[in-house]
Amino acid sequence: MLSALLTRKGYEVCTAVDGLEALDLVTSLHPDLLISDIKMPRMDGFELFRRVEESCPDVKRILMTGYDIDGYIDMIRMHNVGNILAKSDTLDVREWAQYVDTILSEQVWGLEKVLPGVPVRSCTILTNSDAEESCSEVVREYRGEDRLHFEMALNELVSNAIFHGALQLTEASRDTWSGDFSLTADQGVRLSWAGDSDKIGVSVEDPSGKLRKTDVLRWLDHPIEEETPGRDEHGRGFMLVRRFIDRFIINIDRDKRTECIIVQRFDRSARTRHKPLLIHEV
Amino acid sequence: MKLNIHSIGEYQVITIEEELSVISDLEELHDLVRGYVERDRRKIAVSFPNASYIYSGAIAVLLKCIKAIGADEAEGGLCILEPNPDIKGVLTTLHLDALIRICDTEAELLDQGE
Repeated sequence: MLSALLTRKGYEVCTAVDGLEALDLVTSLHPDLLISDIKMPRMDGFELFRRVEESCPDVKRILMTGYDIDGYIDMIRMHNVGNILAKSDTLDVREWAQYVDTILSEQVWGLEKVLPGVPVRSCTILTNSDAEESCSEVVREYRGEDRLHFEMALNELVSNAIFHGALQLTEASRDTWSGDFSLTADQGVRLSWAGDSDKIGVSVEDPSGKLRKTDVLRWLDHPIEEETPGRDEHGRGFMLVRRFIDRFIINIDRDKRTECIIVQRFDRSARTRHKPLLIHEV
Repeated sequence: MKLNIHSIGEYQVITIEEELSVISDLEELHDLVRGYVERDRRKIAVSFPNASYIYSGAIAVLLKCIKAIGADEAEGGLCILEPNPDIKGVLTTLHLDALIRICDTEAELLDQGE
């Protein structure tokens, strides 16, 4: 289905029946993009990606699975994979195709890439009152029953962008942070949002690029309910966002900027059972 | 932070009268719980009837309280008493109801405490 859609969109698509055949194809054809299942005969998707990383590191890669991605998070972390799409009962191949376009063009930044055609509003957060006012405005537009989940996710992303991104206080204790801040225009956190009758999307962008894919995967590999000795004190907010929100996309331009995008459908029954994991780090 | 303390059966009930908004305030709760544990009182219920919002920092403090109590179910443990339905939904979505007992009423807390 995806192959047919991508062909219709003008891409030249080759398919393989298993991991080994896929590796041969990648080595000989050197394609722009490899899309692979996790479970395959003779070589699984993780091993295929590892071999492709060795032989053709510039080939972009997307994993896909019909299983719960969170059940693979240790393997995902071990192989440092960032783009994993979920084949679920509410599979939207058009969304997949849009995602392939985005990955290939490397035009991943901005809420309009995720919600094309929906008017986007933006503001820059410089003070705590800016943050409170703008988050309240966004939350007022949420039409789902689980408003608290959305509000929590939004506030976690904004406070993380301010604390870790703009203020770069990661080494300080969050416990004693008063929450008061004043940023310069260069440090400002950009908040953008867009919505229609079905869903709302929000982008939170900070100008630091300090977040790392390896950190996010480590946090996601430690469930929030585990209070094990030596547990990383950071990252609970990301886990919370992942659990509460239908689409959570992270874009990282190392040491330049970080963008977290969330999209939530108001109708819970329209949300995907298995969520994709989408982290682009350049 | 304004905390009220009273007993229900064997439980020490700590009521937080304000929103759960500042982590440094919530550390008072953690200190109080540790004080009870040092006196070997491990049946502790926390109530925040006026809270309409919770965040990851507050959840982290609740997890630290669970760790401090360290009791199995027979000895006690932490209980969240009469949470706002939205906050109860958050705790269950995060699977924290596997670690923290949630009681909707004082009667339920008494039943479980016996």
